[in-house]
Amino acid sequence: MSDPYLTLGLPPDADNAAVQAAYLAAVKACPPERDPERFQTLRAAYESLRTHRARLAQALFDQEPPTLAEVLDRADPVGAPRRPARALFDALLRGGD
Amino acid sequence: MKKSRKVTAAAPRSAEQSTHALLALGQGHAAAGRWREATAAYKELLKLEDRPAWRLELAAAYAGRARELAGKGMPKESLTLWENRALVAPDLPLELDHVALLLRLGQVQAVLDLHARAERRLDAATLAALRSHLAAWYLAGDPTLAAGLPPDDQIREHGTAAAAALAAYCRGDDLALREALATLPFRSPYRDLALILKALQRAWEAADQDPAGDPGAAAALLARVGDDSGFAPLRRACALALGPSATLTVRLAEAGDHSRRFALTLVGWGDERQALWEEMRRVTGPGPAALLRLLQRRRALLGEDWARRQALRLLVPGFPKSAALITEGGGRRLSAPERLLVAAWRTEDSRNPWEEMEAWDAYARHLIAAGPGPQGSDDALRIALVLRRVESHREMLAQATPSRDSDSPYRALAESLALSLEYDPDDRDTYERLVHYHLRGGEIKTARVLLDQGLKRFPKDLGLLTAALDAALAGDAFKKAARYAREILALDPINTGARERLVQAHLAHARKQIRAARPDLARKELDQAAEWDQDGRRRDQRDLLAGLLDLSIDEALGRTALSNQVAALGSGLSATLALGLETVAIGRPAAWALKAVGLGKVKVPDQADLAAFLARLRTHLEGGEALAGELQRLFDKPLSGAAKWPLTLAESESACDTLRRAGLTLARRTFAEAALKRWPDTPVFVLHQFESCRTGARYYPRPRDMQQLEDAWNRAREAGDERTAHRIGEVIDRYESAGSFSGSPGGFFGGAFDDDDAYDEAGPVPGQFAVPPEDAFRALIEIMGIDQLLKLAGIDAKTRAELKKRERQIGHERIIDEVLALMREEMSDIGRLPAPGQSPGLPLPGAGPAPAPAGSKGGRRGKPAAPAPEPPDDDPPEQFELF
Repeated sequence: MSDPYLTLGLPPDADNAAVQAAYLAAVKACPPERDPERFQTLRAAYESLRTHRARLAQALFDQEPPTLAEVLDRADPVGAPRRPARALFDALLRGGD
Repeated sequence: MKKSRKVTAAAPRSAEQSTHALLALGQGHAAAGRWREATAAYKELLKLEDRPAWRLELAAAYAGRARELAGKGMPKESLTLWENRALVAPDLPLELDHVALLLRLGQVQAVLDLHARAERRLDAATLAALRSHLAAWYLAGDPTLAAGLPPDDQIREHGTAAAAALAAYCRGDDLALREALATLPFRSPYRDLALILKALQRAWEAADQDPAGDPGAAAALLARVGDDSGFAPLRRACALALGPSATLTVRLAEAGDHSRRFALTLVGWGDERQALWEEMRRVTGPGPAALLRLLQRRRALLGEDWARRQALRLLVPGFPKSAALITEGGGRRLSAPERLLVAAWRTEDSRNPWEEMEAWDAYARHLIAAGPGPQGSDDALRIALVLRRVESHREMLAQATPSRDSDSPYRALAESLALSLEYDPDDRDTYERLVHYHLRGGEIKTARVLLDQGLKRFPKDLGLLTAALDAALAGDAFKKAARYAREILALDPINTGARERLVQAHLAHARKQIRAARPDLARKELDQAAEWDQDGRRRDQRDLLAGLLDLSIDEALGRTALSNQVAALGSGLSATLALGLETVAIGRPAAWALKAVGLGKVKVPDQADLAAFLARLRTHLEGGEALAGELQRLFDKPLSGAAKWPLTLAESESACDTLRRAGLTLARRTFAEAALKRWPDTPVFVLHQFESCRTGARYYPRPRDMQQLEDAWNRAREAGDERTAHRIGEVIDRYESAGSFSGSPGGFFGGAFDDDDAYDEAGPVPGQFAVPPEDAFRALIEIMGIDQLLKLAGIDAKTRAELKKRERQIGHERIIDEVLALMREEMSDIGRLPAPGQSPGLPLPGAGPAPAPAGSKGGRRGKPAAPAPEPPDDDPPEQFELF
């Protein structure tokens, strides 16, 4: 994911403290030893938003086109796992696919 | 027998066709999965003769075709074929796919009838699978099924617990779920449901404690549910949700609507997200145009600004043509700043930095015109960032040297960076970058101005303080340098680099004071140098300087002090060099001090002394200092006598290189020749021998010398010594391109090179450029003197004075190199003075397009040969008239 705001789950007007807090929370939830690749992504996102100057630069110079996943994340981020409704179970129990 | 629709018999219809041939044809189609053709063939066969075995084969073909049609989404047609199968072979056992199809079509009673008829004829596994289908339907709440089963049927008996378990799962009551599952016996028709619910718990229900859950255990549980189970569709939907989230949408590509929604819900996709994704699935795919339309349609949900910015990014690859996409997608036209911004983004892929610089410059000018706001405002910061963009993206200034060329991209970049500081003076990296850039070009005053500004804002910044130290040393401001070094050491006491440079600064200042006849101040500087030189690395220099100071005041005292010091250094060539270097550094002839201590006549050093001499000389050269001409003349001959010592190959190579850098040409040649006797044809020594012979030579090298060099290049390549091969290649290119000046294949002298003797005797053709142009200018400089030549070339007095000063610092040979470089630069508009490796008359860099490379000379070094010879020009080159 190239949009660092989406990576860290931040609003566009996040300040230094919010960026740092989001980064620390993300690293705590996904430590580097568990998922090094994810950690690198988090780190890169943090670096690109760490300071006010960096955030302005990110807005000016980041030209990475959005992916569908980013658009989806922006509209409705992936949340916690949910349990499908009974109606969906019934549809599959009736052999639907 | 019911007739299936659209049956077109591919089987042979000839009456004479034998049953044998029809049977073979039907079996061949069946083996290849061509069920439709197989069906037709068997039907023809049965018309000829009705055999039970052939009926079974036709039944199998019907089953195959029925599954094929079901897979194509044609359930009714599929059911017809299942019914045909039952009619052809009534005794065949029930197929579960037939049951599943009946259920899907809502023909529950038919299934119950089949179940009742076939129950006793089915094996246990098939019966269990059939009952799992009935159980799944019962659980889904089919009333017909409930009414059609006896009250004591396990499907009804266990159905209550299974329904309770499913309801508990859906409402999130894990305790109730476990209790309900515990009441289901192992052989229950709901066993597969129990496995699936346990898998769901394992994979996702532990997310509170462990976000990753245990997908491995869940997958193992799901794997125990067979494909023929009535719960298989549910199992497949669960399995889709397992696995990496990055490939989720790929896994879902072929899944049905219910399975997709089920899996997406399990992994946490909300309704809005699912709806958006389904919307994109319905269009052509996530290409730029489709994404643009989606962004436009859903901009209220996504946020107007965000959607617009993302839309701009999608335009970059095809800009400016792609700009139309945004209006085609329903968006408003690009504004002027948006157009400038996307254009600038687009240029960042360009290999031409000018394109990028111009594009960002245009955007910066727009921002400035719009009103920069006060320093520190976001608008001002944006302008500064845009002005710095090319440098932060390409990092061109990191190794660049300032150029006087007004068209130099480095100069333009440096100007942009300097301008950026007006809008954002708090960016310390920009100060440091610019200071180093200007220092590399000797632009000390500009560097100082920047340092003063930077240090005002970042007084404790080690990088800027170090740059200030560099600037002070470069400007001979030793007192200032010492002050900066002290500040650095106060902040970073273990900074050995700063400590060493502080000692050097005090020593340099002491030399300056000796030159200025201020022995008291010089002594003070030496004391301070001693104070900081805690590890005694500069002790020899300090003692020699102190001795020289004494010698300049009291000859007897100085002679004694220096004699003791020289004796401590071994009294050999190394000691002579140490004393000679310090003497020259205080502006005195080396002979003055050397004679005073009895070292006026230099002897050939022994091997140990030679090693010490070379080590000392190397240290001196690595400090950026050249060897003064007086010392070159003093050491060149005695060193030549030391070439006889049995050095190792590495020592010989190192010695030749050090002698090259010191300008000790005779010694370098002798060492190279001695090494070639021990290690014949070694490429690096062939190179040293060639270059040392060429130093000061007036004429083009002989073909046999060039051939030797080329052979050495080949040997270096074969031995994998790329560094030496590269160096030799550069020398060959230099002479080859110079030789191609006249346009003749053999170089300027053309046929003269065919006969070495003829060349040697005849010399150059009158009126033509007889030597490589670089050598010609060197010769002119030697004859006329640098100052006179520069005057003729129109170089101003100030520049000439600077060059004279620099000559004193770096030596005669190196200043000639710099003068030639300067003349190339100054005369670039004339475009005739050749750069090294460039033929006269060819455009200089920046003066026009580069010449197209000529075809390679037999592919000798796998790269294009020197530029193609220009046609002979009857007019004499213009620059010759200058002199």
